[in-house]
Amino acid sequence: MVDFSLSEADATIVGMAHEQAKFYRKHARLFDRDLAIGDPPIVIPGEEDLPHIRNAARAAEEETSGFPILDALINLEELYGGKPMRARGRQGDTMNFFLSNTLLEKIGTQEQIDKWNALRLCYGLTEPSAGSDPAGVKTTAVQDPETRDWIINGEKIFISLGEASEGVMVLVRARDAEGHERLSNFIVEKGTPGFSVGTQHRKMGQRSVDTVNLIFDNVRVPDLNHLNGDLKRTLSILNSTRSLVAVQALGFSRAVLDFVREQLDARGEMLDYRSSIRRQSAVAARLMRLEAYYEAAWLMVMRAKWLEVEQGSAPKVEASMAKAIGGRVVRMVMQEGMELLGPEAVSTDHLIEQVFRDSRIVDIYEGPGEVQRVLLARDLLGYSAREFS
Amino acid sequence: MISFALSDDQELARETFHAAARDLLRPAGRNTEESGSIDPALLMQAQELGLQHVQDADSRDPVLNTLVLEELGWGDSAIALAVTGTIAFIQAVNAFGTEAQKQSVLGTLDSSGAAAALAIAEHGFNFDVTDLATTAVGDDAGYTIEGVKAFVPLASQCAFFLVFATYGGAQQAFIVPRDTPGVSVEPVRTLGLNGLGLGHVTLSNVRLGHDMWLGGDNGCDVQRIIDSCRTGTAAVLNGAARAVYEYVKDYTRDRVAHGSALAQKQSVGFRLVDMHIAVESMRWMNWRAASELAVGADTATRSARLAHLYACEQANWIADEGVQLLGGHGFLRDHPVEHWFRATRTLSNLEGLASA
Repeated sequence: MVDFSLSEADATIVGMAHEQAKFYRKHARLFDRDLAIGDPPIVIPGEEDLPHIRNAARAAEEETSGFPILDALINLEELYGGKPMRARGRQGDTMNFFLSNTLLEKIGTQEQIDKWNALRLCYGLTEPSAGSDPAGVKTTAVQDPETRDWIINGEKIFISLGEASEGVMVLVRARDAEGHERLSNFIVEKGTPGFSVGTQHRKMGQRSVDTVNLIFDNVRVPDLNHLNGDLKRTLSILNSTRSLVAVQALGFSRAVLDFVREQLDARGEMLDYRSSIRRQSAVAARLMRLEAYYEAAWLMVMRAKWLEVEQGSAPKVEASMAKAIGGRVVRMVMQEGMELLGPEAVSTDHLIEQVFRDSRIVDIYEGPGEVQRVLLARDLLGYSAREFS
Repeated sequence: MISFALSDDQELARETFHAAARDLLRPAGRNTEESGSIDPALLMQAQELGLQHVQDADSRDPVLNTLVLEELGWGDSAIALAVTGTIAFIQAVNAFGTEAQKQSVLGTLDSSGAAAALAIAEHGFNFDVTDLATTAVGDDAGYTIEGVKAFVPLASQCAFFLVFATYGGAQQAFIVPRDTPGVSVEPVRTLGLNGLGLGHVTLSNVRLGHDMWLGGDNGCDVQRIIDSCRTGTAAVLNGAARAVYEYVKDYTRDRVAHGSALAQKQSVGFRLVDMHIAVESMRWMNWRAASELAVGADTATRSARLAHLYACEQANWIADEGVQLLGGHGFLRDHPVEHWFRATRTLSNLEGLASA
């Protein structure tokens, strides 16, 4: 039955997440500063006493709309509250940042899974001159015909959790001993000679998020570290994370929409959903329009997540659509929200100043809006990569 | 529980009305617009599909209705509105009418096969459903209605109008039989939807008995009728927008310029993608509003308003881009896109033409 209301169990879980968001919001500014390599993690007093909401969602799964949907709704609240996106271990109560581990389970041999699955693995895809087009990857792995070892050389950029992780799954152009070349994944553990972490990037927003370069200088790894997954299977993992990035767009957007709404309420200007634009102030009409866009994006995310529940795997087209509309909507909400609020909004006294910066990456990482549209155009219009680029 | 799963009945309705839209409505769209009237045989055929008969309080399914309205709107919005026009009236009487009103009014409609319509919009550039110039004044004998209702669908074929008027400081609805003294109908030509037979209904010192106030002595919550109309209108716009998207997609894939198909160029391909996203997201907005109407949720007013706002903006953007992407052909009446462009704008500006 078509239904967009939360079940009782859904509402309980989301309510818990919302309470937690209020806790994090009090500390959001703590995380608005750069961290350097080696800095200790920022500690929030009382954080260790918070309930593990995702475990609660898993425990109640039968009475909920399904874990992928709940995971998204929890994540939405987390972003709403400015919960920092930190490495919290694979069992941590956080969005799954360690998609490499998920990918390892998908494409690794049992021996490989047993060897590395306990490690926190970041994923190394983007390079200084190759981001959304993996075909441009220049990092190489060349097989030594004598030892069958592989020698990796190159540099990766914008690697989330690169410092906190215990190793990387890295996408490279591999040339085996027989001279065959293809894009492949390798596992490289921290401490391997020649593998190093660069400095922390200095970012406009999400400043304390661990984002680094990884440098591979004649890194030698055994053949066991070579994973058999091809590019297509690698990229399919992005289907579930793309719609989660769209969820970030929703969390940030709602934080600002609620804030604008509170300011309107405070001056006694209520949104009247009964009347037409001819009976509204410009500010109210603009806010209502933003709400409509927010709801449209919310529903597109829910559509992707519902399909994930139904099919057992994340859908490609719907996830891209969710990311594309989410990225567009969050930018719209930030710019218009700022405009509607006026001079006071630029002050660091208010959360919107931080959200405005933090959220700007959403339409960029995990494939910018333009890349989503390229991928979608191929699917919807029936073009190959060569025919539409 | 969040779900997008349709029931078997809903799937079947969608398929049935899609076929009707494809075989009956789409081929007749252009002629209907040019001639300004709908072939009565076509109207009859479409009505035989039986949607009118499932609008009583027990079997009415707003989600199913949005599915049907989307499909019919995909076929042709003017004909879709003509086929389903009377439904808005039937739904309102079923939902809020007294037993006597249901029996007499709906009974008459059923036996005569006549149309009936909501009369909501009024003249003037400041029109708003929360502030109606048409008035109802009560006395011992009943009510006196005074005012002009504008852009009423199927006006000349209607046996009844549900007239929205200000009564006692609030909006209320009154059942006005067409043959009541003081009621006159004047046809009107419009930007689009000319096949729909839109007309202005003048109510000059119209005297009604006590039994004609919808809902009886306490009236009814007309906002719920407005909510249903906004959702229904959004569903028709959803279908119309989908029609434009599909047509333009095919056209730009065929049309070669500067060495490649138009659709292969990013500036075109990206717009097609955004059109598709808009069509999809519109549908979920409509489903949400409809699912809330189905359970009588308080949030339905907001959801319906946002769905309507969103559908109007997106459908008109899509229709506008549709004209653009056809280039000079977009301006010709040889292609349906200019007709859809006008129909979409027209429907977006009006009130009470379709209902979920």
